Amino acid sequence: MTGAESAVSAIVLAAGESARMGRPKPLVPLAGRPLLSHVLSTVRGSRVAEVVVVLGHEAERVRREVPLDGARVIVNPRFAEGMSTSIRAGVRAAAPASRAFLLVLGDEPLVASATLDALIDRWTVTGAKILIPTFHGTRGNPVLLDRSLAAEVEAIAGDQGCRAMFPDHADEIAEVAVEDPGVLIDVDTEEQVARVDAALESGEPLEVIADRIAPARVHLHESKASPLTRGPLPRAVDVLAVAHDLSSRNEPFAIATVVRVVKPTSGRPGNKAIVRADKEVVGWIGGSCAESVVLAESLASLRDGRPRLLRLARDIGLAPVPEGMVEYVMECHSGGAMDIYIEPHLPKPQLVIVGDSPVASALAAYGRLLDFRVVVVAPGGDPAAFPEADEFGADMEGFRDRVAPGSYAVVATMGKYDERALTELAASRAAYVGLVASKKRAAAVIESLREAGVSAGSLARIRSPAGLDLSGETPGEIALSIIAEITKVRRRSATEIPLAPASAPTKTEPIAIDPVCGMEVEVTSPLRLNHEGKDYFFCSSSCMNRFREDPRAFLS
Amino acid sequence: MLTSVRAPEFASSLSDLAARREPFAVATVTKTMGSTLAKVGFKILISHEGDVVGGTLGGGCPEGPVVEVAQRAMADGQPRIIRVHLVDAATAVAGYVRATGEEDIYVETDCGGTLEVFIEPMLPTERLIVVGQGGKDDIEEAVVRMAKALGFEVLVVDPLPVLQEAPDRIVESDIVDPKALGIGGRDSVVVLTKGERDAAVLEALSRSDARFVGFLASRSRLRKNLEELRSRGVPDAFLARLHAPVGLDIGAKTPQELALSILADVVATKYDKDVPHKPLEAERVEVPEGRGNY
Repeated sequence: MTGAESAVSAIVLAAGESARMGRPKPLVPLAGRPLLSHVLSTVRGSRVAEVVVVLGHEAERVRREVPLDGARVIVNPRFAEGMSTSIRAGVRAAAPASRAFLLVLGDEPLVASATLDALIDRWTVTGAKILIPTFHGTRGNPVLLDRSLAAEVEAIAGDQGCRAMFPDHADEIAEVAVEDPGVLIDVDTEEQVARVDAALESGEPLEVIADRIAPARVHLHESKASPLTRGPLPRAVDVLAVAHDLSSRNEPFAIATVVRVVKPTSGRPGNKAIVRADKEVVGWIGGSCAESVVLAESLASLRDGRPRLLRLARDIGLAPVPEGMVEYVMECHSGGAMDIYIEPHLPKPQLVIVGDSPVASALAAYGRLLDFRVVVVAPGGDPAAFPEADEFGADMEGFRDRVAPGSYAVVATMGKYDERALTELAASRAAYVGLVASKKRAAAVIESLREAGVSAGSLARIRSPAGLDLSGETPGEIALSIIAEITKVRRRSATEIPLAPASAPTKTEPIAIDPVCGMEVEVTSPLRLNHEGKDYFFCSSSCMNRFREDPRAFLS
Repeated sequence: MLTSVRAPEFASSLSDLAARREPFAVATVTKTMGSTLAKVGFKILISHEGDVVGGTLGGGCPEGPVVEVAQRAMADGQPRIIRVHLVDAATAVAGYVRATGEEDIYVETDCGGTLEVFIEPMLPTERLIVVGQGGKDDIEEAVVRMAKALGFEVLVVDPLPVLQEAPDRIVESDIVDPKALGIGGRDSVVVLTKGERDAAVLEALSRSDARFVGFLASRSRLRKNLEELRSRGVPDAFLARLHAPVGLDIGAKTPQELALSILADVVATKYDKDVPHKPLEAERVEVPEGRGNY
């Protein structure tokens, strides 16, 4: 199967009467385009094989005013009887070859195409019958239904959606966690229309908009609402949910999994736990017998970035131990043995790109592909030109805070503010500082930095021209040579910053604990805040910003 | 204006030539001085071999020199404007003496007049051809993505392609036929097969003019394949220019990083850049550390 052929039909439900609005809902203008055309853009941007649009209320007018090119348009004369009739009509109209239906609501304009693809991917891989996107635990839309449920779709009555089928298929539902608050946002009232419209007009990225207007019941990045609270024994799936949560917040953690036991032991194969850098343990790995060793080894794995395999047994040194495995005495009396695999999950390395140039855009794309956290700072630039950016800065304010220690930074401003950016980077703890400029211009920039008092040592860190010398000419080729050089620097360096090795011989600086993620941070870190007379230090700007928003949440 | 070439014919000639994946050139009259048979807009199509395969410049007089310049343009990829002076013998001789570059060309003829001609070489798109093993392959996926970002026309030859990113063209096959694929000097080929088909694929590619042939393999698999290829009579010259293990030495660990090292190798080769490659004793793909999939 190729990318284009997903065998999934999108069924866009846009037939209903807009009881709470004065005009057909699909035509409500948002940022100058009808609501329905926003929804269609999302669908067209995904890998669905075909698009079926179900119209009803004022169908002719909608068809006239919204470009529906490429979509199969059907009109549901019974739309007034409720949504079930439209779903049925859409499913009947879908191509016989399609294997699943994506029920897209015509009034949810902020869903990302990637979310549709995530549902399709999960369906392809797991074969689940009903796939529901969730955002931070709350179920949203669109829902993907396997074709095997087509007969049951026929049986839904009245104004019910496909949710009516959920109770009978609880075992065949897969929730797909997505970082897309758009799955929860519909426009049902004039007030919501106004808010979405204003937000879209602002030109901000969809995620930012969705974040801002997400329903109040969803607490974004709210630590209390996260499943991290210690409770009764979590199931493996909960542990994985915690992993996902930590991972999406770019926090380090290790997963310990029991892979083999010799009974009697309290742990069972598959039991797993998450160990965070602040020593918090979530999950179950055989109770207190194992916990101290697993904790220590997990923290060690976070420091050196390497996975490890442990054997815990009452008597050690008796049997040959496989290569790469370390034996420990199990500190309790059960008498059995457990093998535990520990795997560190480190935050993504950060790629900071300064500038609004073709090289900068190409670099952002490669950064995303190579799993960097991409931060773009482009004064006057258009965030839409950097869809791959995890963080976008529209000015140089607070630039230094964005450059977490260990960042890989590239300045490609086409001369506009090279000096400013490089001065800041010279004082940062970036692992790589590259300048994209002609030889002549680079020399002039370096000279002006020297005159401004930047030390020779700092200047020597600036790589110019940035990138391996591949003789590339196009922006894409230049960006490729830079990301190749960054990868080389990263893979050649002994450790991945920002986790300072605990036993590093150079550790002369006092260590502070980041109050947000619990990581050890040197007090020389520029990422610091003074709160009520006390200094706090942070591993990254995202931790610092979270602390700044609500210090009390982290000072219990 | 297509005074002497009808538009549909011209378009179909163009697409025929493009489909051959060989360079060709279009020469268009942009200006005329004096009395000429050619009018502005007259054009000819010139094949790789230097034959006029379509159109006219109003007669045979100016064709010879235009074809000559077009062949130079196809060789270096640069478009040019020339003036062709169709003059009597005496003026032609004087012109030869005066002319400094290739911009002014004097042709001894009775046709008369001067033509300004824009000559535009059309080179085949640079292609990146990925030969896959079949099934999901993260390296293949990342190579396709990066190659598209670099502006290559991407062709995947794979018996069972499983790709998120759609290449420009997929040939579902487990053999590589350089002739059928029209592999030429502007093509780079990355071989990602994983065993059985290695030798057959590489042997087939040894008969192509590909600019770059790269092969991803472990040290031991590479050795075995080199022996096999020698015993099949594949010339040493091909084995010497085979990029294997493929990729620049950037310490790549993840599939995406390996793809990056491969594309960096392709780009460096395009510009004839000598860069450090992975040593023959290179480490092989490791499980990426620190980041699992869940």
